[in-house]
Amino acid sequence: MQELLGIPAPLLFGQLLIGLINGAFYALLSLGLAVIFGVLNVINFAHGALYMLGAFMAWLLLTYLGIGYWPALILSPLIVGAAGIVIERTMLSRLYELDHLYGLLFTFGLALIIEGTFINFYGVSGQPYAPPKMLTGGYNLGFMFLPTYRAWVIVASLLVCFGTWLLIERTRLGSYLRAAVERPDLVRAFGINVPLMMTLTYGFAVALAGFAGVLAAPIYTVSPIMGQNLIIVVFAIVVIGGLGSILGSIVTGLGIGLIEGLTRTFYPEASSTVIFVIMAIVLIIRPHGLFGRSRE
Amino acid sequence: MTEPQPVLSTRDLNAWYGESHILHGVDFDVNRGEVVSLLGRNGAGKTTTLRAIMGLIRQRQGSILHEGEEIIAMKPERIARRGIAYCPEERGIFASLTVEENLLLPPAVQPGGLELAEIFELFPNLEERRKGASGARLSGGEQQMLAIGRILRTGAKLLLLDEPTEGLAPVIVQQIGVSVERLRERGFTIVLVEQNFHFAARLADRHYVIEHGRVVEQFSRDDIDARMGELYELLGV
Amino acid sequence: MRLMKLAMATTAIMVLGTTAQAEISDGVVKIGVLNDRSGLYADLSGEGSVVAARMAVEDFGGDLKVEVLSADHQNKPDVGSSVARQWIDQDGVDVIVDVPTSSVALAVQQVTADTDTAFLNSGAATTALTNAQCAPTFVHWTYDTYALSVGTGKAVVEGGGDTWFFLTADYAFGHQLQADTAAVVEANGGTVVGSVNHPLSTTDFSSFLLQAQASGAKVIGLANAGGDTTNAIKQANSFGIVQSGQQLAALLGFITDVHALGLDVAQGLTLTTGFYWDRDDASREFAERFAEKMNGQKPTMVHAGVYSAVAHYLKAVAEIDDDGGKAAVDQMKTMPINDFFAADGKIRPDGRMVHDMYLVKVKTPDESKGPWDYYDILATIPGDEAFQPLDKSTCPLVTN
Repeated sequence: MQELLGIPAPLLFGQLLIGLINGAFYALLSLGLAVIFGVLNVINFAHGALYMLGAFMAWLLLTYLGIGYWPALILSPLIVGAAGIVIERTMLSRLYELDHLYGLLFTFGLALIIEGTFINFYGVSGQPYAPPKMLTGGYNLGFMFLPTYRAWVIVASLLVCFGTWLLIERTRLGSYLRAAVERPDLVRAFGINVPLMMTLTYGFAVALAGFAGVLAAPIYTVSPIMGQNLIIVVFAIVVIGGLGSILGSIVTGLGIGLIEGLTRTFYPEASSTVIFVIMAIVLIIRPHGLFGRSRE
Repeated sequence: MTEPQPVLSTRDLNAWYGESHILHGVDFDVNRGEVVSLLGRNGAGKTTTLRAIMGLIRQRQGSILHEGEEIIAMKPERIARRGIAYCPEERGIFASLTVEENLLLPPAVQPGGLELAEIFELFPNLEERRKGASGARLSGGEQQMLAIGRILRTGAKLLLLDEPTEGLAPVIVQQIGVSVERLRERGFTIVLVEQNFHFAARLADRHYVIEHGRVVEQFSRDDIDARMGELYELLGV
Repeated sequence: MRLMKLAMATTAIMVLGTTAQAEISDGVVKIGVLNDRSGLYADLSGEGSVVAARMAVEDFGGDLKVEVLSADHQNKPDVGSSVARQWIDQDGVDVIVDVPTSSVALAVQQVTADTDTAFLNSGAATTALTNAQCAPTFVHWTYDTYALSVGTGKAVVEGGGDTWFFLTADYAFGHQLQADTAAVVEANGGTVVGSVNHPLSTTDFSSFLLQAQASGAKVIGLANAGGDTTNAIKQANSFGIVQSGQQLAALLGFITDVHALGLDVAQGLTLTTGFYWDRDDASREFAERFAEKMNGQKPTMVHAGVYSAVAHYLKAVAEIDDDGGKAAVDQMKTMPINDFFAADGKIRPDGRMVHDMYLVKVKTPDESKGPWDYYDILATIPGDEAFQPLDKSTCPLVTN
């Protein structure tokens, strides 16, 4: 068997592919976090909890209303997005004038409340959620067995990431958003309702998290704590990519997935730490992140 | 003969930045089709006056009438939708937007805005630079033209221009002067904040001098030659 | 995520009887239930253990004044030992129970041994607690890595699974479980072809599973617990590992894990457990009462062990009128344990509570009559075979 870097080539390819799949997940979540930071200037620690909420909504819809995976893939993000809009309008928007720390503490507390509520009712062990029939099974790629569902995950996340990137970089609405990131006051003075835009942006970005949650439900157990570890990793990705950089968060998300996959092969004990080592190195060399622009 | 109703008039306009009280009662009127300049030394409160009119300063008091309606409590986006356009001192060109995106950014708020072709006729440089990747790559003069050009598309009839000549080469200043003149001919009403008195003197119908957050003197185009000494003293020229 | 969470959550106070006893310190027996209340082990221990401890206190009904406290150790040894120290120094806690997560249990063991406080462990697995790190104030109640490996390891090798690859949680418990199981596998004629250590609370196991698959081992031993085990099993299922002929052996599986996986995914797994609620009338009766207080959830072996340990402790303390750690544990060692959890259970000098263990197989969805009807008991492993023989113990209390 041919070997690359001391391990069999098929195994290496398999690990790279898996890394890419995880990276697609990271990209979807870090994208939302980056958009929120860019437009609202808020570090949204509730992102992991809202991702969990997305997964749980899919489970609740199935368990109590018999609504299956495909409708849930649309409905659940809509519900999470609506929850996000209520959160932004009633609470978060009051904190913009204050120090960043308040937004961070608020979203952190919100995450604890959401997670605590679900732990209270459903416990931490999690709930089973089966993938839809047409996505069960898998393909034998020769070097590995690729579950159909994982293939779907990578396609769906990349499509959504690319769509979001197009929306922000190539449309009229996107140009409003980018302008509002730089000078919200001036954009308002052009007659654009920036507060409304911020509300919708938050709703959209957390809906992305909800979407990722539904995608994750059949892979991981649907558990109130499923977002807890993820949010830290995703936050690190946003920092590495450059706070607020859309493209940075997508590319870094995919890249970190790959690096994590390789670490799991060569030195598995470090696989949960490697991201933070990279973050530290990047911050030393490029304090604004790989794709970041300095702000103010 | 009754006086025509002013397009814009402020009475006892006060404004604060946090703790510091910047405007202490600014009163001035702008009539339809006029070019009015606000003159004054650095820090007198000229820029703050424009920002207060646009609603960009949260703490403000007094009265601002636009077309006879009180706008002091309105949010910036509503004020803009009434047909008031603002071109800020630092020009406000967005680095993350292409030149064309910058130009097309402000949405139309009223019918009757200039067509792109008309804007390019006023500022031919913009047409050449239209495909530029980032607004930040333009020269200072081009950025200023872009900043003025983009608000002409919106249909707003009242333009607030904050120091359009600051830091620009004389030949560009002249070009901007010509453009402002042509805008007046097209019926725009313009409030011009200026440090460059000679630029303003040529263009404006009337001048208000602001000092310590108050209007202290008013000159019309016709007085200006006679009262030049007085004006120089006020401005410290 | 839980860095700012309050270290302690003190719960209801329960007062039974009115007569204060002279030898009971400060007149009240305080039981501190210390476990994971919000992380990956919160369902298998957590609030259920507190409920079980309270039930034991209620059922005891004797002439003692008893309070039950609880706190979250967040699976962090430093948090666990500082809560234990505060409980003992400031709140007058006399006995600490449960404490899952081996690394935390080892940290708490040092505190309780130094302060003559009884420590009845139900949730942790490492055999180190009754070997080099044993203490006269300590009892290990429910299970340990040795018992798990004897049960599952032996059964799997005898069933033909003679080459093993381990997926191991990278901390004290995982390493111990892997070492114990490897010893059993080799003693029964099997071989270990490799292993990979994964961080605690890993969400994605696919990389590790691919390595396990590439090893060609017949059996993939999961030396982990809780959410790590369920995620690994669920993902192994989607990667077609079982379908392609490899067998999964969950070395530590709780009934809550099976519940989380669903029988579709979990069916056919063999597990070793210290308790199954549907084993006899006594266990069913306890499970019913427990479920009433826990939204219908049936007790895990950890919950049942907490009840049994607290009940036995209170009996011993009432007997000698003394709640000093060593005195109470010494008395416990003299009394046999007979309840729904253990038949003729006994506590050895090293602190190991010896009772029967059960090898179970997870039912198929068709076999199951409903939620929590999950196990068929394949075999009962007598206590003397299930646990490490006393003469192999490195505990100084035994060797000296």
